[in-house]
Amino acid sequence: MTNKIKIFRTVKGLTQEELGQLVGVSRQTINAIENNKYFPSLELGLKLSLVLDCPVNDLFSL
Amino acid sequence: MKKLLFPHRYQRISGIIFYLSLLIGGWLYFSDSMEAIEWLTCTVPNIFKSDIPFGEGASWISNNITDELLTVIIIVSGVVHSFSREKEEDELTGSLRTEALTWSMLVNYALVLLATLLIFGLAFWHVMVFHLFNLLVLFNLRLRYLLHKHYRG
Repeated sequence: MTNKIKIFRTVKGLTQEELGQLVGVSRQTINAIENNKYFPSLELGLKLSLVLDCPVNDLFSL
Repeated sequence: MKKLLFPHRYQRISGIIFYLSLLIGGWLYFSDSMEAIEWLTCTVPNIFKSDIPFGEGASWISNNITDELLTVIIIVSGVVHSFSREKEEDELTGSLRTEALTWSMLVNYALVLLATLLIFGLAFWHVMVFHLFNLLVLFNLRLRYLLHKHYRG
């Protein structure tokens, strides 16, 4: 599974720290997700999609 | 999972107590001086004097409680240290905790199996003593290592 969180986050002008605070996880967790070291839960995926204002399908792909 | 964890404020103090009591316990065990502290000898209930609990022979006996005291301190502080929240507890730290628990369980029982096949007689007593704390120590070390790697990221 890959994701485009880094791209959407940069477009929104958010840092990893800020995005982490918005979805309730640490900066390190956002970093691990962006680098495909950790695959987030459905709940976190939906929160990311909500905060980054883009559909989950665009954010994550198989 | 988060609901089952102890507050973060207990993490540091329980860690200090855990590793300090492990060192003291290890030193007393290996130097065979577990009963050296004489003032810790007191009267305690002994429910297993015979094979049947609370059966004939169960009574109050005089015993040095240094080992019992250390066992309680090591287990309680180890459990609190291992299962206290991180400063920023989220689903990834929870996942690392589960991973560390699985890893330590597998390694611990691999060691027990190895010891069962290679250590016999009264020497197996030492295996049983180590088995009391091994899982906790392995879990703790593995979790700290995984969290260290996580925080460096």
